[in-house]
Amino acid sequence: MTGTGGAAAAAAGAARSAFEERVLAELGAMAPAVSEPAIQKPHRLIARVKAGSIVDVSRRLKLIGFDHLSCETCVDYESEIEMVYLLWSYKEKCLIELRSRISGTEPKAASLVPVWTGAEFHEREAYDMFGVIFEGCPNLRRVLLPDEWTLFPFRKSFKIESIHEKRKRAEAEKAKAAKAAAAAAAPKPPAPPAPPAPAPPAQNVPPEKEAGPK
Amino acid sequence: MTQMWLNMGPQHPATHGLWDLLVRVDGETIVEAQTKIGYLHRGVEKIAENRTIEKFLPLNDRLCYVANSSWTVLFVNAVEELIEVVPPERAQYIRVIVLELQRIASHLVWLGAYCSDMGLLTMILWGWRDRELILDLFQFLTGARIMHNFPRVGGVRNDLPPTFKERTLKAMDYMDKRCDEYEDICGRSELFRMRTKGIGPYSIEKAIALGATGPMLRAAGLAQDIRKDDPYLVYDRLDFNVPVGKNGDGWDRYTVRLEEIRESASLVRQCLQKMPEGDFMLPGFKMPKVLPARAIYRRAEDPRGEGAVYIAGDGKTNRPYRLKIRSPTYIHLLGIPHYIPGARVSDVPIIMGGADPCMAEVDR
Amino acid sequence: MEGDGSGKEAGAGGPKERRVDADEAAADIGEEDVCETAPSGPSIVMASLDELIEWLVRVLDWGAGIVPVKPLVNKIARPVFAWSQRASVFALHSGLACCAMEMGVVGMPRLDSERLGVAWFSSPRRCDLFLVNGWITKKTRPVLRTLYEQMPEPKWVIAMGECAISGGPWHDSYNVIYGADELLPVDIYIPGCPPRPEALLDALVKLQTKIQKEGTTSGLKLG
Repeated sequence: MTGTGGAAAAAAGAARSAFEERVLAELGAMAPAVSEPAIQKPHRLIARVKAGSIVDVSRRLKLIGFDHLSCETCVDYESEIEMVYLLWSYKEKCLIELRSRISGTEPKAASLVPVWTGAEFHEREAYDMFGVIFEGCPNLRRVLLPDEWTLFPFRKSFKIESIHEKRKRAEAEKAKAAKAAAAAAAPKPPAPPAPPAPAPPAQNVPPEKEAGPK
Repeated sequence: MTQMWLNMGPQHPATHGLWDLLVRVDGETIVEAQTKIGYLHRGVEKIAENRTIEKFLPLNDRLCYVANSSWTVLFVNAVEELIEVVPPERAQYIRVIVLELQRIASHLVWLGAYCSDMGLLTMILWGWRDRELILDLFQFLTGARIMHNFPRVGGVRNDLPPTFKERTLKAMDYMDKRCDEYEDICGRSELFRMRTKGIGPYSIEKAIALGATGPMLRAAGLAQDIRKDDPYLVYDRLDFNVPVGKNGDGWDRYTVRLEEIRESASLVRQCLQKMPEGDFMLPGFKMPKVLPARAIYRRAEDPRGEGAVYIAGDGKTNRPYRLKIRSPTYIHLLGIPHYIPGARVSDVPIIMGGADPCMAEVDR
Repeated sequence: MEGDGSGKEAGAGGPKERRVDADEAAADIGEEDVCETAPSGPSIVMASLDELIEWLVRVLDWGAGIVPVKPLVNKIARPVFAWSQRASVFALHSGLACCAMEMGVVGMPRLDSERLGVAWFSSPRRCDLFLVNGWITKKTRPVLRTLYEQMPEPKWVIAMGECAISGGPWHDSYNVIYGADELLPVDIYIPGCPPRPEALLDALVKLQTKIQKEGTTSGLKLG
């Protein structure tokens, strides 16, 4: 659904710094774990990562210079969940977006806590809202919702409706229930008279055209 | 000595918001801590999927009740980047003025609350009284004290009213003078130094590992600022310094934020002088009926740190498919248990206050 | 015990010396027969302190029922209590969300709630006023209920802002309660999102008028 736009950036002839070239080369070397590395805009890189290799890729990127984990989040595409990792380099002032797809029915991902301690906070929220289990995350429990909740509200299957919709639905149900009650309580109407015998077919109606061989 | 768990919150004068810090104390020293948040969770990101961009715009003010416009401007910037629209230059300057005034107001709230936690009650009265002047400027410009609902996709809601420039310049001169007075009452106070120096320090490496950004990271010693490193709006044309601390303790967090008030005043002056004539809104702009099927990550220097918005469209409707709000204070508050052990119970308000909590943004 | 039937002479001595008609006593006080249950003689000395106090209260109540002392004392005392309560309404230092910023401003130099006698205290045990100033979520429900129940009587609740009145702009949230009056009895509602701090000041003045008019629930109680 969301493309990486690498071709567009190349076509625009964006000036690439030496660091960005180096990152692209490193990402290319990490294939097949990393695919589609590209530069979207100056100082904006993007790449797609295979689900199991995110820890190694982010460790390599941290060594290169992406020292800050800005955000780790999910986008729910129902059958799949796309994990998005956004890394920023304070020295080179460059942002990279890593996307990786995991299963939507039983979402499991590797935890980035061995690389950044602060990843725990993002992962707790992703677990709380989407139900993604991060293997290796210490203290993986709910953070924003009450502990006894069992649902994951940011999944697309969890629907919210506005108070106007709630009211409309309640009124529609009430009206339906009232109509059903009225229909049940009303006296049954007398049986309709027997229909008249069917009229004989008219004589001058041309017979139906039959699909016969030409 | 037996250890016991103390519950500081959710209703507590020092927490400045509804959250809970459970500390395990051994006598007076803290051995372990746990943060409990979520008392104000509304699911704003889910609500955003249910509403159009225009209908969601006023809710951004309520994302952080201390620094309202910084979130609205960030959201509008993100949407404009998503639909590939650039607002006129005058509108960008006006947005920067609003952002910097908001930064001053937010830091004054923080300063008042931080000092009142220590018992320096004068600062909360002075700080909030001076904040009223900034809120008067906001009321003059946008019509509301807080909850301005001012930026629009493609520009801002209205142009600067007449005499706004003179009033603001006068107010910024007054703020500079007042910063000197705050320095007198806080910075030169021996008690204030004793209460803040060496409290809750952390190194740059630990700060980056925990995801700390903004004043919390600058206090540790790293001179980074999104307005300089990753400029947005017209920040690349403006000239300002980035104040830096040394140890990342309570004292450095105070000095960094006080200097930021001065820098913001200077930025507002520069904007008012450099602002070009022109439109405050893109002429003939109409919001597209469908958001493109792309995702944008937009960062900004919120008064509390790195605020960011990840917005993804789906190519079918004009509602965001996914809106993720990266809140700096969420990371800071959950990181507190990693550097609080060793502090004393009476230092907890200083450490809590140093992170500048604004719970509506933490819990979203 | 001698008695004059159902005579009600003022100042005729204690209950030991008069006998009131049982029906009258019951109608008046709601107890079957005060005199017969009142201990006499040496049993008073050997009774426990609780029983003594209980007896004293019953006796005073009975006496106040006969002599119109109670309404008279209440008429004098109630306005005095009401005045002292309205002139020093202590609000609980609990800020939930955005409206708490405007609540804070009311205590600051420009608007100064202290000239009305309103000050903010952190402990609910010393507060009369609970300002609900923000949206209430399912996690906050027990917290607010506990805080409210920790406050001693008499207490009042002001619901400030749209979120506290009806859930506010979060009507499609899965976690927000539609209004503070689902869990607390609210006295005053302040509309606005957020209401101006002058509106909160006006609400405090209205609360003071309300306290003065209704009197206070803990007047001079006998029994």
